[in-house]
Amino acid sequence: MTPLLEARGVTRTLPGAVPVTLVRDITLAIGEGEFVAVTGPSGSGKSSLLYLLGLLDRPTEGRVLIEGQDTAGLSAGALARLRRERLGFVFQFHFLLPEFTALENLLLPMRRAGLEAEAALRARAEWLLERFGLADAMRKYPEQLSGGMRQRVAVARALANDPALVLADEPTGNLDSVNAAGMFDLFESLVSEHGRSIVVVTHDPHLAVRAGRQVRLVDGRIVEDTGAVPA
Amino acid sequence: MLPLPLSIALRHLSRRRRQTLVSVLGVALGVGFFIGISALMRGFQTYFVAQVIDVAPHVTIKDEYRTPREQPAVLAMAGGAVSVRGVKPREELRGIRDARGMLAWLEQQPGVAAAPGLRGSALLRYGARDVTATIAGIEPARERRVGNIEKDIIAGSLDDLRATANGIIVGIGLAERLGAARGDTITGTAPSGASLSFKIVGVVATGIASIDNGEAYVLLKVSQVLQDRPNVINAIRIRLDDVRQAEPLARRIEAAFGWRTESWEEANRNVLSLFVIQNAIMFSVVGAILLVAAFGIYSIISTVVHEKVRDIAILKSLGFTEGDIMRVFTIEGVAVGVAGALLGAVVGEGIIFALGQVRFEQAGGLIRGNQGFILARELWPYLAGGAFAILASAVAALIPARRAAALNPVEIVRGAA
Repeated sequence: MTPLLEARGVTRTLPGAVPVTLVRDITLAIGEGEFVAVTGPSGSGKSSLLYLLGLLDRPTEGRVLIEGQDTAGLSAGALARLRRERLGFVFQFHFLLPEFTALENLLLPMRRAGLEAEAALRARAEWLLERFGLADAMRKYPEQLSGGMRQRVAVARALANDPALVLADEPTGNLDSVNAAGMFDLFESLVSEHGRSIVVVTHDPHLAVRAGRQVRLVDGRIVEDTGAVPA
Repeated sequence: MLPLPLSIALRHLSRRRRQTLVSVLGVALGVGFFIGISALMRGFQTYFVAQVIDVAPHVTIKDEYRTPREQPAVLAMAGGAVSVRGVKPREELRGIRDARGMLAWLEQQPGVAAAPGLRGSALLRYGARDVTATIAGIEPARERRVGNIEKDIIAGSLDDLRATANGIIVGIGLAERLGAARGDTITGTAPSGASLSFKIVGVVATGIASIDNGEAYVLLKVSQVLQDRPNVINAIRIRLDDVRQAEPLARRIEAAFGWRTESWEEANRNVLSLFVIQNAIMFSVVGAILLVAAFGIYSIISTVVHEKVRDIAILKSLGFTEGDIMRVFTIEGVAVGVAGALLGAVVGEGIIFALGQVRFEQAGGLIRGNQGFILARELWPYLAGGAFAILASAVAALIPARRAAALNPVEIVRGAA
């Protein structure tokens, strides 16, 4: 079966007087319904790998494939389209748009993708927020919400266009342990109940073990992958 | 449902009202001053041109040639090494030959009214006072269609010229200098030596000092007797329905008949060229105001882009394209421009109103009946100012918008984390 997301020999080097290699020769395949935790010390290239997998960055060498499709030759517009229709992002900081209410923050990517009529989009956005216990927060602006609520809105937004894969970069970095555990509960239910795939970058080993598969990076290389299919 | 980039742009602007208001005001002031100053300048110019067109004929045919006629010796030996010196002009009766034929031809042209005249100087005497004046011989019936002298007559009427033997209408300044009034009899003596008695039947006040102080009107025939130039006409004055036809018509007449023919544009060329310079100054000043407003927009959109880099990264991660981002920020600039143009029209309206309230204590003289600014009410400054403001705003926004679109989301996310 074609993996959902695949990296083949991916290397990313920042050009400069002293070129810095962020990740080196990464080969990784993520299938449907997988919950992957990427761990490693600071500066090991966890986030860089996530941006490459999320098509926010392009590799210097190697290729990233989505559902078997090579993304190397795609235009910026085509990559943007894949991002909004197939992928969802959650960052360490909530990254909600401050001028828009929680509901509108969900509706923005949905309207941009325009996959359904406005009424259907709105209904789905409300349903998502209700599911995350945010029924009362829909019409509030991010500044009026608590940190945990903001991060839940951010996760709901990542799911707005019903993506196949959610990529989360230290989503619990700014949360206390209760909220952080709640966030992982949420991820687990997404995987078990909805068959989504999730890749979470985290430096918290207690949370990482809750994922079905751990990938450990050191100095931009994979040193351990519990779920790698033997070649 | 608004297009997405537009709704994002409007939300950015409406959620940061103070900043938006400042930039809109900047543009509005630029547009408003443009409208106000345009009204002021154009008002004065239009009034001035109207006065010139009103008082003077649109085209004047004179009894002279633009270039002196060549000497017979030169004509006979064309190209020869002939030099003729000390030749005096031939004694000839000056005047437009076949003036009646020309008048008939002119009056057949559509939209053309023509009046003949004989102008000459004479010494007017009343008691012990004497004043040199220009005596214009006119035909009242034709004059009425060409000049506006009739509306400036403050005592008597043009018809009284015909009703009274040797009637004369004098400028108000002339009457004052002579110490004569309507009904008085004055004496006129021409350079030819002829002398006639005139009865003042009217007084004219045009507001133009040179006319009021130095011109008098008599019947054409009377003028011809006074100047001892029977049947001579030395000027044909033409009035047109369409003043813009003056210059082409003047050139046609000169080409056809040879007499020096001046349009009002040619006669007032010095003033009109002054207007060109005046306009250039006005547009430079106002252009500078609008330019400053455009820089204001540039700086504000730049600041917004700078503050919004994180939002730009988010939008990109959500699958918004570079085009979407660029549209958002360009729309913000254009929206500021449009709002500024609209508010600027109101500001301009206010400036015009305020200028209209200004009264000068001691006016009189040239601008009769106006104690304040003369303001032109035209549509084009509103359109031109508005269009420039929107265009300048779009350009001012486009530069930071392009920078915003090109931002690499990864770098921003890394920086924020």
